[in-house]
Amino acid sequence: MRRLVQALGVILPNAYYKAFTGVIFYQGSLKAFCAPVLNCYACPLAVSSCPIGSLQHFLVIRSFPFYLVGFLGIVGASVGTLTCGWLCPFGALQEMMYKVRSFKVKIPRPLRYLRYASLVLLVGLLPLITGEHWFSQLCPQGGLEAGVPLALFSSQIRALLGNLFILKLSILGGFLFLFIISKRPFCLTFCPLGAIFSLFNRFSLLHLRVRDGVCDECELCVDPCPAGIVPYREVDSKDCVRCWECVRRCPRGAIQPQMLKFWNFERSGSREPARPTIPLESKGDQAEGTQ
Amino acid sequence: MKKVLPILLLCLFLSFFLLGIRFGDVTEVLLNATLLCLHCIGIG
Repeated sequence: MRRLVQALGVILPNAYYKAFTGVIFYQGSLKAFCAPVLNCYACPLAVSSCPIGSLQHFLVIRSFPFYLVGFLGIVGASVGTLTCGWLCPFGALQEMMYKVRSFKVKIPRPLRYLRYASLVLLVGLLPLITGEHWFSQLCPQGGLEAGVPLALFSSQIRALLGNLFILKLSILGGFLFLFIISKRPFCLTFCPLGAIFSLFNRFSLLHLRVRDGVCDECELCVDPCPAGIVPYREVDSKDCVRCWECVRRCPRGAIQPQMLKFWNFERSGSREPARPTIPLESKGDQAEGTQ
Repeated sequence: MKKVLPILLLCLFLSFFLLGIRFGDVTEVLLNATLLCLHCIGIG
């Protein structure tokens, strides 16, 4: 199901198929709307705007981005990082590339704060001070979706490419390598959009809960987690991308999506009961009995 | 409080969103997006 939605997340914001017939770039009214994912609006196929690119533009022209703050706030306060786990094309790419067999490394926890630095510096302060789109200049998603295809198919664009394109390609290459060896490295260390949505994870309408007494910490949910967290301990963590793999993988249905604490999405079907826990005294009794 | 906060946040951001539409931010987003973003491509 999630793979299907992720495929829609790739196809729907990139549905301008006239680009294949030589009309290089969509300029219609749909671009007034932002997709709640990191999808480059300079991509020849893109039909919607990038919220981060638009946010930088407002800061460059020194105008408060009411529309974008409102849009990102509505998405964040409703579902938190759900769009990262279910819709984002770059997130889907990272998950697919992680399946390539290689050595794997875990991203150290302190590095996960870098995305907030990326948000504050590259999207906020530097565009405001210098009048340049700093994040867009470094964004590997822009390089992948816009830079590479346009460099390949447009001789006019190719003639304009310089050092910035080489830097962008290097960043993209570095991240593509990291995608193979670690779980969602871009989301966890660099993505400013994920950083914004993650701030809402604890307060959003939709969130996850661990059902009391049902989870027996079997850790079946830990390995499939694309954010590399321990879901039953950090259920509404800011690092969670809300893919709900933990919900799907838990044999006891211990982790459940919930809307506003009183509307549960309990899955139907039989569930194994939680393993009975043995009180400490009786454990001692058993040990004595066996001797 | 935890039940009310998301609704308050939603109302706050909805008002920002509507203010943005009122102030013509949508047109600004459209204008910005219809110009090819050279930074995204790597031209600068």
